[in-house]
Amino acid sequence: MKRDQLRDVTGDPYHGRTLEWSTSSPPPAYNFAFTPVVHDVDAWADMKKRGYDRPKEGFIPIHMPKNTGAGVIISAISVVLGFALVWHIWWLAALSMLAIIAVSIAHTFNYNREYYIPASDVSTVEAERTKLLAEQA
Amino acid sequence: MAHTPAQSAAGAETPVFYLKEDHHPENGTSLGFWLYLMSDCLIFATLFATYAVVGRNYAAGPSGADLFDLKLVAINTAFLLFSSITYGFAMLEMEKQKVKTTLIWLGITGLFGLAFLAVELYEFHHLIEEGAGPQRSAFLSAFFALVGTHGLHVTFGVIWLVTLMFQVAKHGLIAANKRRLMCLSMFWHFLDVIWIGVFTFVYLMGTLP
Repeated sequence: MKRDQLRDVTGDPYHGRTLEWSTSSPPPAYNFAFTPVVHDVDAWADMKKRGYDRPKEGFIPIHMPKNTGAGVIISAISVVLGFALVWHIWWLAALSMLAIIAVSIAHTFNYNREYYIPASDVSTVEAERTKLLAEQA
Repeated sequence: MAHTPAQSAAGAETPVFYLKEDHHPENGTSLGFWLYLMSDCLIFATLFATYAVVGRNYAAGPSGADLFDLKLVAINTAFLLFSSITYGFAMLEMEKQKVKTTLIWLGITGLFGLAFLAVELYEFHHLIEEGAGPQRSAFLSAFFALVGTHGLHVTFGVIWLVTLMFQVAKHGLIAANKRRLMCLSMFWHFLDVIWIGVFTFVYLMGTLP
């Protein structure tokens, strides 16, 4: 099988024109090591045309939101609430409404919602990509 | 914050394609909360519009002049307006980093909110007892929808306020809690403004012949 041989590592196999093609595939957790500055509607095409040079050093820690299950849990209870309302199951409707409020309030007691990806991790990931791009070329 | 990217018009110089520093907008929560408040404002706008259209369709039933007890509504309005003032005091104490007095003023605000809700529930109960429930006429449907929605907002505001009191007691006046208090402050004052509209358009103008 040629699956591995043919796999694209550049993230931009079709000479894309917009920013999603400028990062790796799959993209890293932080998407972009530095926030892109856009000069054109087709920002990535513009960058390639005007000699964009991928940053290879000077990375800084990246501020990120932590994962949370609150949204998924609340939407799951909302399904129950919707079901109960459609079928006039009032006790279940009241219960699921209370549950939604309870989960929402419980979520606000979580103050630990963000973290930083250390600059060294960003450097490692970006160096990996630099290597892959060099091999491809 | 972001520096201005160098323009390519400057000449052969390569334009800036990415920012070298951390880039997070300040006060993102405030902007988001304003957007929420404005969308809430649209809900009340539609309810006011509905009331404006059908507010005089009594279906041979009672009118506002027959039903409304302006003294009661005046007391209710006073409760809500005072609660806004006491919330303001809580915010002043918050600025001075005084946890205890902030909590006391928040507590008083919550009590005013509860008093408002109690009077409103009494009024609703009284109307329904008299046979002037939301099914009676288009006027009463629009009335209960508008005033009830405002009352629900106050209810959730009180729940929010109690939650925040626990959080302030637990963690103190840290930046996150101050931001939350600021959001609730805007919410609370917003409800006050809506109530001014309800008081004027529904109760005062409703009792006009």
